[in-house]
Amino acid sequence: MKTEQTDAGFSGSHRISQGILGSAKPLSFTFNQKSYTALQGDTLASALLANGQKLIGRSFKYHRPRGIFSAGPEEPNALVELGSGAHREPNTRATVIELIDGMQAKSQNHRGPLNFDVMAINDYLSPFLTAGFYYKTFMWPKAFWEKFYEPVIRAAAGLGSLSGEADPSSYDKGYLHCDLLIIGAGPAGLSAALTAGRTGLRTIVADEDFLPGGRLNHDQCIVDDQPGAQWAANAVSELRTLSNVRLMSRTSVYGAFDHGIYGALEHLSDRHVPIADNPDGSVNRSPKQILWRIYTQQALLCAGSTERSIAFGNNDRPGIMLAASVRAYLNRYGVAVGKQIVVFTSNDDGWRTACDLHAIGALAGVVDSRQIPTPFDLSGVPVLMGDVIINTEGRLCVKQVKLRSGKIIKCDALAVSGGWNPNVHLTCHQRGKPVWDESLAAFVPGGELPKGMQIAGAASGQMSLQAALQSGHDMAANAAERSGKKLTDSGVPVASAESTNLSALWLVRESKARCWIDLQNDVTSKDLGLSFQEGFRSVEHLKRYTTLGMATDQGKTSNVLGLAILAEISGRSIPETGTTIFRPPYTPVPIGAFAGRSRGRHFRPYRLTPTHSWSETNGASFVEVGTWLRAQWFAKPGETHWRQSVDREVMATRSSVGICDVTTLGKIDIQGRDAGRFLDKVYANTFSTLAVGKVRYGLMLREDGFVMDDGTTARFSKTHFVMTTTTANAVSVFRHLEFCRQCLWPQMDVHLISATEQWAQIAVAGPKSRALLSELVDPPFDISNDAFPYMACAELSVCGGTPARLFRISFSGELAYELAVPARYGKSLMDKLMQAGQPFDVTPYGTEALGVMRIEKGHVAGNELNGQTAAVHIGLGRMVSKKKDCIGNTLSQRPSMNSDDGIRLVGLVPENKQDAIKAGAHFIAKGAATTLENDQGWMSSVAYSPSLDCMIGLGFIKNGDQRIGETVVAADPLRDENFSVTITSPHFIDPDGERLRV
Amino acid sequence: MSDYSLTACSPLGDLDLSLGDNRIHEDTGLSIVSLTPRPDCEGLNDKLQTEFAVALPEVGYVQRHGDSVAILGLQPNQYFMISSESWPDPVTHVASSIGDFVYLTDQSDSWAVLSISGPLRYAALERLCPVDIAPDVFDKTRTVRTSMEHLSVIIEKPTDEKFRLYTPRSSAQSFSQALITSLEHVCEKT
Repeated sequence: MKTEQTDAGFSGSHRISQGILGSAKPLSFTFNQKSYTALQGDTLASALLANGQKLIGRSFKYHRPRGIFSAGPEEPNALVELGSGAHREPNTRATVIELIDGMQAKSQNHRGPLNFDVMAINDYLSPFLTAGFYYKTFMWPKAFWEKFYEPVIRAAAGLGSLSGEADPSSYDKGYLHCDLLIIGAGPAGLSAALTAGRTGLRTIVADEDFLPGGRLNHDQCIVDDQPGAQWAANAVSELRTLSNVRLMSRTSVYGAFDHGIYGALEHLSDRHVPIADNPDGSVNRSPKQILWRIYTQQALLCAGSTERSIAFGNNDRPGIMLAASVRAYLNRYGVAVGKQIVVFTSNDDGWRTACDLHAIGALAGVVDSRQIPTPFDLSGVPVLMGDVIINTEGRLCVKQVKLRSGKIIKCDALAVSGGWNPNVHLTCHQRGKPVWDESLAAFVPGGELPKGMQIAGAASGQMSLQAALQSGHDMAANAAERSGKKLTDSGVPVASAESTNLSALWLVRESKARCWIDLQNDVTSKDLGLSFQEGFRSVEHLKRYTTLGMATDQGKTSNVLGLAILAEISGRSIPETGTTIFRPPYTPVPIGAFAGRSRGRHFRPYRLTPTHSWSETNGASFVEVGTWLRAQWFAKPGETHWRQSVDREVMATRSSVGICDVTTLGKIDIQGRDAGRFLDKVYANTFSTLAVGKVRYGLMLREDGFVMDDGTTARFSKTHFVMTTTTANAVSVFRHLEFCRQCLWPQMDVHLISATEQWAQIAVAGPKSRALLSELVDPPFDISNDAFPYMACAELSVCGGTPARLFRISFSGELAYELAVPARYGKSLMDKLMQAGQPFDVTPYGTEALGVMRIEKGHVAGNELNGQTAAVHIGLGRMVSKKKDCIGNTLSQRPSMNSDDGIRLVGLVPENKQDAIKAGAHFIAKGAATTLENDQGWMSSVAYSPSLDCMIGLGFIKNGDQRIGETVVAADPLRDENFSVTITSPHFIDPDGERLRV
Repeated sequence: MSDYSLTACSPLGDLDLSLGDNRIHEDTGLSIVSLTPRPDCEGLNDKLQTEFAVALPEVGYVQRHGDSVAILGLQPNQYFMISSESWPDPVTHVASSIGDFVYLTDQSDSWAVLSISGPLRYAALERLCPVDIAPDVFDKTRTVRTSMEHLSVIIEKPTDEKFRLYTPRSSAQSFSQALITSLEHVCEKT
């Protein structure tokens, strides 16, 4: 074999030239801790082959030695672990990994050294481990499955392993738009891109390789009188000058989704080594990968085709590769995968590999299954027409091949070509079913294609280079015309002629040894036969029983081979046998890319109240309430338990004054001449009669009569209301109202807009609340009880002219107000309330104290309004006006909902004041068994009441309003607790509401 | 008059960040008023022209009068009037001229407003914005309300050189972090 030293220095024993890498920079990397050299532009696979490393890993089930099989994304064998520590990434395909300096790679799926894997004993046990063995074995003893068999099997399977650490890499997502998405930048893709780009069409070209060109870089071909690789480079240069073309290399389009949307994964920086910080010391935040959603008007699939193998005895040994891949390593990377290489083919394309190998003196022989005259004259090497390989030998690398004729050829590599399969994957993503093309002996796109998709080049079954260039041009021209673009005069590139004759050969039947179909899943032709024998006749069943076509390669080299052999076994034609179709993703997409930047603190957005920073400064602990962060309590020095803080806040509020940010409550601005009538329809009670300057509590029902939400609504003018919703239902209530406005009563003059964000709203509660507010409210506004009574509201100004809204409403049961100012003043308002409240020892309180006080008062909240309770259940049945219609009115009158023995809201106090009752307990009559039949209701809310010095609760119990004073058991089987509780009024504090009205 | 006075605080603390020639900064002091035409509001456009030198745009479009006033068409019968002036009481200010024709709601404090400018503004927004904002598709006359990182965002282009993004005040920190992250990511790439 002719070899030459590269300009860049020694970069491997099998590097015979620099291919098209040019004056590439030398790189270093390690494989299994051993250092190697490579060239910039290498893949990990080409670099390993350049260094003579043929054994790359072990097979999934039998741990057979395996090497590199292909030169692209279809690779079933060469899966490696990249990186170390938290950066470790298992099961990556060496054939698509762009080598970078310092890369660390390791083989996987072996115990002990790679060349002496103790798990290879599985290969000797293979008669017991045939397809579906796990469905038939490990049945006894039954208990062993979970504790022994499954753990052992799981430990033995899985190929590579994760680090177990959080992935430190950064990922991102994004959105792109184009008139035309060209998928693939091989001959058809580049031809199409030039045509489309020159018309001004907004075009994206996505190619999974880091070097666009596809087979133009792999083959010795001529386009427009230039070497193919040079033509591709020139095309890329031109495309980069076109502002309407975006050329995305390292980008795999992995899915075709609805409405012309495509998913694509871009590898921005293949950082399989720790990310270096920037020179200035700052952290490099560049994402490793970006998941793009591409919105297209039209798409052109130029995904090319994938070569397939032939099934013959021991066709899986390291050194046995697809013929075109051998050619690719030679012409692109300057790597001869062996020094004595045999070519086994059923078509003319395999001969092109033979010719290229012959030219460098590395061809050991050609075996062609066809009984035809020799297509090419290759002097000096054995050419065997009409013969086939029936077996190979060599433990860690193929050493020789044995032919049906009895001949034996010594070799160190074997290039196999069984024909080509168009890459139809993306055409199937909307259920398009490929159809069989007898002339190609392959499936071509068929059925309904994804919206806007056209196909060009080998992906459509046009296998010659000229046909690819022509179809790319034609399809792009059509796309441009459909978009109203005028074509330029540029012609179609002209390529050298090539022959594509083939004869289908799937399985060498004379082989006695195992013939491998799916290298990734260790599926043999015998497995297919066994599957058929056991009744799995459908190709879908075959796939699932044998695992054919699963895992990272998704059967790119095995599916068609497998079903063709199934067809032979079953005596049916291939079209009769059918085919599986493909789902996204076309190639593996890391989970990290799907997550993007949504991880850790940024997993989801959060909402902050206008007083958040004030609360942080003042010792608040926060609680997530939906997406809001709310102050839960404010610990003071010396308080060691949250209950101490909460009890203090409650008592301070009830004895003097407390302030609490209630901004999170939904606020909906409702305007229009029909606003009152609109509210009458959405609320159970009447609002059209509400006086201007007044607030009313409202109960909103669902269509089925159950309570949807509650809150207060204030009227500021004849045509202007402001509705308050619960925090949790702010969005759903707004959406409901918009539905009512737009769909149910579009004739009404009503306008809605959310004002939740506009106002910072602070509850000021307690007997001193009026005194405190008097310090802030600008005169002459009078907030005396007479001038501004309970349930009054007003627009006014505070603190020297700041516009504000004041509501005299109370959730705590005390004299209380809610003061709203534009959100920009929220933090400042808290400061001023604290300053002005110093004489009253004003106390900020959080959601815990808020909850305690509303339970003491007997106000319902989310726990009570859980979607299963109606107005009558919470003691508000009379609020459902019979004088008017409203949503939910009719169904709220169902007899079953209004029966006398229905549940009613009650208060509950433990018989033993020390008992810590809990929400979720169910009520059972004393002495009765804790069974579902005896269930009488449930405890919905509990709190420790510092006012009563014991736990108290709210709950629902059958006929509760008639059972005040009765004792029942609050049974909690989950916690194994039972407490006796006494039924009381739900209003523990100020049942007559006197405090509210002072 | 109360002895106390309140101090305004912007949603993002007057955020102003530059990365190379790119800048993200918070636009404060804008007045934003929601307009909904009342039924039988004939004469509204004439009044708007007279008072503000703008007319109501179609949904998805913007009408501008220089840098001072813009009206964004957000949905049928809902418009935002944006003024670069900070009106003390925006509703009263607008109502004084067109109050008979429209229902008004102050939205000035509902939104945090961020501008992004610089050569990488498109690249940064590609990581967030599902809407096509290419220069030949989305010019100064366009606006759209969309979702970015699960958050509601209104986007418009007050000039050819910058985008303005309106995002709800309460989640503005999450959104600004997302926008900054996007710009950092694309800056690192270059």
